[in-house]
Amino acid sequence: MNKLKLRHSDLPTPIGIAWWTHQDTAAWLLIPCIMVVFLGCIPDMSSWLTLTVAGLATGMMLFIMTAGFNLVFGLMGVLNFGHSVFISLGAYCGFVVVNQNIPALMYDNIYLNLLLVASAAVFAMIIVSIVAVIFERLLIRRVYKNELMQILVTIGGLIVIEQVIYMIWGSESVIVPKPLALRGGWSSGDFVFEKYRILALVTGLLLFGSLLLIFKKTKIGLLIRAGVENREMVESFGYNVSMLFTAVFVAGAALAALGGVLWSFHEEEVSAQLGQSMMVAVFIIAICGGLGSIMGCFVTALLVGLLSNYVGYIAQDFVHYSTITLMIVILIWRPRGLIPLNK
Amino acid sequence: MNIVLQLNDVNTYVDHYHILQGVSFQVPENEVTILLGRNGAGKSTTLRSIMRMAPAKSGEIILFGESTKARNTHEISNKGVSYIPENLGIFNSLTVEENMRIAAKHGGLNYERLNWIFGIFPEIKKFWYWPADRLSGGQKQMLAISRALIEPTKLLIMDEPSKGLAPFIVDLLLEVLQELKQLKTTMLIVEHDFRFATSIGDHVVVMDNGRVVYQAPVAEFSSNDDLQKTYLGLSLSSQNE
Repeated sequence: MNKLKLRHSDLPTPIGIAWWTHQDTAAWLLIPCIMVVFLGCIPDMSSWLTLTVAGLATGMMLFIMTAGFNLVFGLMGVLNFGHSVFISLGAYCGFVVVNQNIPALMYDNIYLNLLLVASAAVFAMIIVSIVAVIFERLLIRRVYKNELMQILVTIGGLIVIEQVIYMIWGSESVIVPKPLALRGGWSSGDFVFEKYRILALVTGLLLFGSLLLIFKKTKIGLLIRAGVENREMVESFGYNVSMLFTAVFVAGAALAALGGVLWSFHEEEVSAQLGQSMMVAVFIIAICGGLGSIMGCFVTALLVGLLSNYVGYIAQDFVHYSTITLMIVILIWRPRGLIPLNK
Repeated sequence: MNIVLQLNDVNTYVDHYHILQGVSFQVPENEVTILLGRNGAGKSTTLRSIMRMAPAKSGEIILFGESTKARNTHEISNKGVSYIPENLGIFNSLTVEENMRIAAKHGGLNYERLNWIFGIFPEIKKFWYWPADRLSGGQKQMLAISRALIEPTKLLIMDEPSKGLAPFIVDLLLEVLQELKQLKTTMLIVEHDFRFATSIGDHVVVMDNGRVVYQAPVAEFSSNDDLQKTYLGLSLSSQNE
């Protein structure tokens, strides 16, 4: 077969890489900017460093919880209010695994402890994926293109699953202790580098890298990006977009479950309200990041994580105001989100 | 003569509007059928009904001898149908290359075929890595046609392929379609440019107010000024003046 050779000299005046623009650079620069601004507000360097690492770790966990919601909203146009219950259900599933393996939890071995966290995450993702398939087939599929019904139906689904959680685990919150080897951290002066936050950071980065790779380098990622723009046309090329939507919905729910597990270890407790308490942040990140935009979601999640940690340190009562202010500023600057998918 | 596509008394509604009101016609194999009609006659809706993007409420659409009633758009496409909509359906957020990769539904790009397309539209090669939204209208049209050609197709459905194109690009497009015709590709084309239609078409189907009002070989229609004036409000001879 006559293989095609495309040379860069074939291209006319360079216009930049299609998926990276000056807009993206400006958005990424907000992260160091916010760090520098608060470096001036927090006099103690060690505290600033601790807060920065904590903020980034929080941002990563928020990203994991939001990525799925953002994809579902961007690709399918479905505003899934039921996303929060996938976070809670995932956290409870993680609790089940932890509860069955208390000796492993108390064993001071980093590998065994990591295996336990990974098992909890995988189990949670599998169970939530199964629930998500039923949720999508029974409820979501019937209300595509009907935004009002989507809100009603997904809230209805949320209430039902939440009641099931109450039936199984009760209304009291349950304790999810951190594995022994992941407790504490390394300190130098006032600077504390918590081990569990490192795990959250690494997991978030790995997930972000994987999602970017899937989106940029694989056919399925290509189809998802195209489907966000024009679902009908993707279908006219012979692809089953309905199956693609189910797959994205399930993947989104599985990510929510992963986020729920990580958050439950972080907070060391789980309640049925866990997901709902995260939803304000999830909404803000999804809208400010740009619908369907993984990169936008990542940058905004880090900004929200950093801002809430810095402001929480300076004036605890103003944490929520700071996040809302961030949203207002971003949406005035870029109404379609920080890094919109369709530039 | 084999019939590739057959519409029998098709009725389609868009929202509450009854757009197609009993449309019936046939598309013979290896020939080019031109769908003509004034604006709002229901031509584009007919194509969308065939692709089941605007499913018919009643009537029957038979594609390659099988009813499409229980089929989805992707299943119809996988039977070997390529569709270029009026708005071209270009994915603006993707590059030209990515647009082509999506169209290559069976595995990767066929480089032999791609080189053939580059021979027809060198612009596609030139702008290979460009985001599609930076292309001009004509270049987008070329991309839309290239996407439809990247895989062998049994039935090519095009909605106004010459719309908004410069005359020399229209001539180029005609050459491409002639080549496809020689390769025995069956085509169904909605077209406003009567000269374009008559130079490529074998059969003409004229629609008005959601109904088929006339169908005949192109030669018969193009030689009758009265018919053209009656159904289209203009004639080939008046266009030539």
